[in-house]
Amino acid sequence: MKQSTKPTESTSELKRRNVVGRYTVVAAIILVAALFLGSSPTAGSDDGNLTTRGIVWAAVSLVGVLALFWAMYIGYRRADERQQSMQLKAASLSFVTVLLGLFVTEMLQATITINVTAAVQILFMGGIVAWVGFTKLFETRDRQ
Amino acid sequence: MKNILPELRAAKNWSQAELGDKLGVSRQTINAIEKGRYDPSLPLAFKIAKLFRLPVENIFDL
Repeated sequence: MKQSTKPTESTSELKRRNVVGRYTVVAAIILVAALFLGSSPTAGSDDGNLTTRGIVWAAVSLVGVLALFWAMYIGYRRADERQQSMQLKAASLSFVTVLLGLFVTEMLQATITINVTAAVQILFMGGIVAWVGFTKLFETRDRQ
Repeated sequence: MKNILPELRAAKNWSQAELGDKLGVSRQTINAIEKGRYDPSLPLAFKIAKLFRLPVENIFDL
């Protein structure tokens, strides 16, 4: 049987996916490196002061997060008009999700003592997961 | 919004991906326009009309 040689995706979309994939891999590598460096700027310090390792950890974490946001920004900039509107809808929904999360964190902090640093980290990751998740949900719904 | 994009594309023997290439959008966007699930912006509608050398009102209809 003769195989069809027609492309299954437009070149602009393939380029967008490649670029976003590359930046995401770079961000993931940096964030994993930050994970191995520790978990706080005062890690390894007996008196609670900043250590060189802590400063390096903070810098690497910041670069990793910025790389992640850059990947998401490039994904948005290179998307076509329909994808951009879906991403904006997903971003606004995830923004509301994070705001609700912050409100709940604040309420919990006021009533019982919780680890705010951990809660903020969960909210940060949850916000990104919500953004990507809502975008995928809209894309899936659009295909039906 | 109804449109005759599938017929126009079939007449040229283009796939959705190829049409997406020519218009600078994804295959999914072409699919969504063809199925009437997404209404293109005016610039994209005019781009489509220019590509098929037809007035925009001949391609899209409410």
